[in-house]
Amino acid sequence: MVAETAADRRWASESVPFLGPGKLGCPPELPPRAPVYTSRRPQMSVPQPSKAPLLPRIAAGDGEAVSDFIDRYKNLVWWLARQLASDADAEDAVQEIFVDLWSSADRYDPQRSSEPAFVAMIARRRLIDRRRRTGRRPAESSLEDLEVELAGSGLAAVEAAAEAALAGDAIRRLDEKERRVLSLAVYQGLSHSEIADFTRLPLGTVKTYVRRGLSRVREMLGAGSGTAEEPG
Amino acid sequence: MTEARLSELLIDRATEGLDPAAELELSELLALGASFDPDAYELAAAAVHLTSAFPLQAMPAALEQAIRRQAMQVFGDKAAAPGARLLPLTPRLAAASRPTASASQRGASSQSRASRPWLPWTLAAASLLLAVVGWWPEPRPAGPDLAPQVAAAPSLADVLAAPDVRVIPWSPTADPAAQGAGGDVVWSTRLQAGFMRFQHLAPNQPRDAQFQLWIFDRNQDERYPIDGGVFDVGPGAEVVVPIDAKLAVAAPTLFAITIEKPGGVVVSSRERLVLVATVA
Repeated sequence: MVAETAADRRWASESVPFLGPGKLGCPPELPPRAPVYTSRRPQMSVPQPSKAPLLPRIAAGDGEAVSDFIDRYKNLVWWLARQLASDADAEDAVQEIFVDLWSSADRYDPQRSSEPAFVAMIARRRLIDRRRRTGRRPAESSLEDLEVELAGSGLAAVEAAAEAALAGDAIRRLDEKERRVLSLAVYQGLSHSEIADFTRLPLGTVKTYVRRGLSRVREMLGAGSGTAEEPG
Repeated sequence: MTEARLSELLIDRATEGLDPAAELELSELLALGASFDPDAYELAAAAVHLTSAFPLQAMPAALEQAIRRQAMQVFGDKAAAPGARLLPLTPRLAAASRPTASASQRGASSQSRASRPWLPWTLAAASLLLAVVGWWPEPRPAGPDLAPQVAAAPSLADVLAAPDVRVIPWSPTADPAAQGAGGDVVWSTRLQAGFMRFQHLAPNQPRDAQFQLWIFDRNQDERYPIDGGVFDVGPGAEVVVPIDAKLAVAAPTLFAITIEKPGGVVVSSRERLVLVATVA
């Protein structure tokens, strides 16, 4: 049972818009609204960032693309590792992530996602796996301590605009509690049972919120076959 | 029902990860051939993560250098940053020529990782003498499925009792550390746990070098086997070491022991291959 703190009480009582890591209560500055796809599958491939993807060149054996790739994504990978791994693990995790990226280069499909989203997926996969195995997680901090701005000055606003904008749209349409739960699951990397402890919601409810929220983001992105039923 | 369960597992994997039993269930469901993009929910979670648009913290310079050195091991010196003066971990790797890959070739073409030709793992295993007689207690006959009842760190007895347990003898290589060495490895994919038994393996000095286990998986690129953990061997006729796999092992094909620098490595140069155990 988690001892109630001021953050807990605020969490329970205030209507808080969806936030990534940021100041509690501050209105988020969301990416520009993206066109809404009316069909389950978009008519065209996901718009690519202005820079051409490098993974296809790496998959084809172009070693020179590797250096450019490191330049382009090193900070994104480091940022994700600092979010989802402990300080002691972040550097090791980053090295493992890049090995995963080299071995996954031939799996990247520009029709399915932008390259930054693919890189973030591979990184998150490794970080989640490490967290499960080591049981170590980032130093916990209350939402009040998170001082990172939500201004559109980072990677999402510039490079991964397509998926980030669509995901932002889907998130805005979620119920307030669903947004909070999804935020804790994705940004903070909390397990579903940890979220249940923190929010005092039943575990089943947390799972439903996570599944519903992610399903709606997925639908908005128009990924997959579209034959899956939305769970819960 | 199947697709609903598949969605649940994929979403759980995309957020909190899956335990071994759930991973196995997911593999089985995906193998049924559902028309489902297995990465869709992970991409969605990544997109959600990228909505938090805030300044990215710069990667520490020393870490970046380590990443570049690692890339040079894999791709050769073309992966070095322009103008950078990088000292590769293994000088011979930097000198190794790398054939040009055509655009139609998936992944990097086979590459020479040292000045001598690289002997495929399976060929090395096939050419070695098998002189090991195991003394593990015979695995108990398959009984009730114990997997759900086993705690997060299964004991040796738990592994031996697992219905899918495999006992595979080690085969020594020509490496001096392997002379006269033997033993075997027990592994349960269901439990995602195993142990290694070594007989007469030359002890190591931890401050100079350590042993590292690599697990080759049918579903994994053989250039990047799964890290099974770093360990030491002291004096004594026999040593038992638990396996510490860093990733889920779905279909192991080969276990291999190398000698590495203290703390182990992310990608092995495979210059000192000591023992191999081929899964039949």
